Amino acid sequence: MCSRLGHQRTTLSTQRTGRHEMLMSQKIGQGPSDGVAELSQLPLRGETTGSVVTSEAHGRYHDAVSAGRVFSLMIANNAITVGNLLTTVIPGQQNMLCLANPTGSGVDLALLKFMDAFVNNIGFRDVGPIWHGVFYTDVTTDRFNNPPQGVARNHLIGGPTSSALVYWITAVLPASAGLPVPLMMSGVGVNSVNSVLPSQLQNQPDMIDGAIVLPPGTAWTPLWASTSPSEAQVQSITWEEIPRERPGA
Amino acid sequence: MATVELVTGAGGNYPDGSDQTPIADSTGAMMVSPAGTRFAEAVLRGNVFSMMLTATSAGWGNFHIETTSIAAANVQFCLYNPLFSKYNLSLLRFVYGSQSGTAGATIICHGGFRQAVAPTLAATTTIKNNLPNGRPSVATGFISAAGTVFTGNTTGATFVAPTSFASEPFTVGDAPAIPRQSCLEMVDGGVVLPPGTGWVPFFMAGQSGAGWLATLSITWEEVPIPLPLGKGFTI
Repeated sequence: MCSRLGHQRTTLSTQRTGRHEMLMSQKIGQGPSDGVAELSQLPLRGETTGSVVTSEAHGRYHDAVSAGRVFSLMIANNAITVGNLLTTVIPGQQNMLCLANPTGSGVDLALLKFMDAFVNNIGFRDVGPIWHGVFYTDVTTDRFNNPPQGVARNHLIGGPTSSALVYWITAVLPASAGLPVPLMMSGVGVNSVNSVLPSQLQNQPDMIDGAIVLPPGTAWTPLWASTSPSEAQVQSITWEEIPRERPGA
Repeated sequence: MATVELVTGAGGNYPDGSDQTPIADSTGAMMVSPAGTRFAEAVLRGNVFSMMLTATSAGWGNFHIETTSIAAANVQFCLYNPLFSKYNLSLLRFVYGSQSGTAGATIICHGGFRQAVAPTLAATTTIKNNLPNGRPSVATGFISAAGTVFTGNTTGATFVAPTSFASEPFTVGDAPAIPRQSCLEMVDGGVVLPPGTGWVPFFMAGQSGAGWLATLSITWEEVPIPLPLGKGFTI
């Protein structure tokens, strides 16, 4: 049995910094062939290029979900018949899903997964993909004349409530809403052409996996290049709320 | 305070048995390589379980529909974590398989509920450890055919409303000519059931199907939780 500390070589112990700086060491190899007894002390194991060989203890999102930091919202069946258009200004008369991180929330919202699915076979699918739209300003205070309508659900069943505000707006927005210009971020993994029935499409989730982060005072909404009438959709957005330690968050 | 350091660089071609310093990328992050499988360690420790609902003759409308409560007479496929189990149930995989008939034009969602007392049901299912001959599960699984009453619990309490989570990555259309797409969702710990909560799959309302045959399965890891219970939830 060997001690982990025995494989850490002390390289510097400076009186100048008062810190002990140790160079981490690992044992290169395939690991023991006979398995390792419980409570064994082992060095880190490395492969031939020097990277550390790791194994996952649980599911990818288990830790964040168990801590009560992961939330999602799904909007109901047929809720969206016309989405937010990818234009310079969002028209007032749109059904829209919007995830907003209010100023002073104290958390960053790391988007994890977006899903759009079709629930009827009436109309043709919109032309083009769905885009992520991000508001760079706080849309929660004076931009929407509607209160938040959605309910964010914690993926830890019964967990704490979300710090985010979720807008699921089906009412007509007044012309004075003056929404900020959304910015394209990246295409969502669903795409289609016109004259294709919704049932002929395979919907894929966009595993955003943190590639878009909403700091306080920003918001997100999905966008379409064009829309067709009569198609009914459901959508969901899943996110992790990461506490901000910095002053003024 | 001791600072453990790495070295940056592309690494080398080190022989087995040599002592080397782990490498870091240009941002200082430690470079790692997966040892192999995703779930074998948890399975080998006997902590991963599955249950399934085999083909049912239930019509589309007999599955749970997103409403304010879980319907009593629907087909039941429910995973429940007892209040004093001392484990969190971390969902790993969910599989939907369509076999015949016409499904409704909607999607499947994850539904969660809180209930301190286990629901009662005439028929329960056998939970299988993914490690053959592994320990029994701390969870309770419920499956039944359509029309079996899911009474809530012995005290007469009712379920809270199912909650909407991330949707399944497919749409079930209503055109019979379109082959139904079976689906695997790697939940990957994305839904966790603390003690005293349960999970059911359910469907968005508003659409109907006919003569639908489907199978369902759910796989989860049972992760010990430290005491006191995790913050933020009450029963």
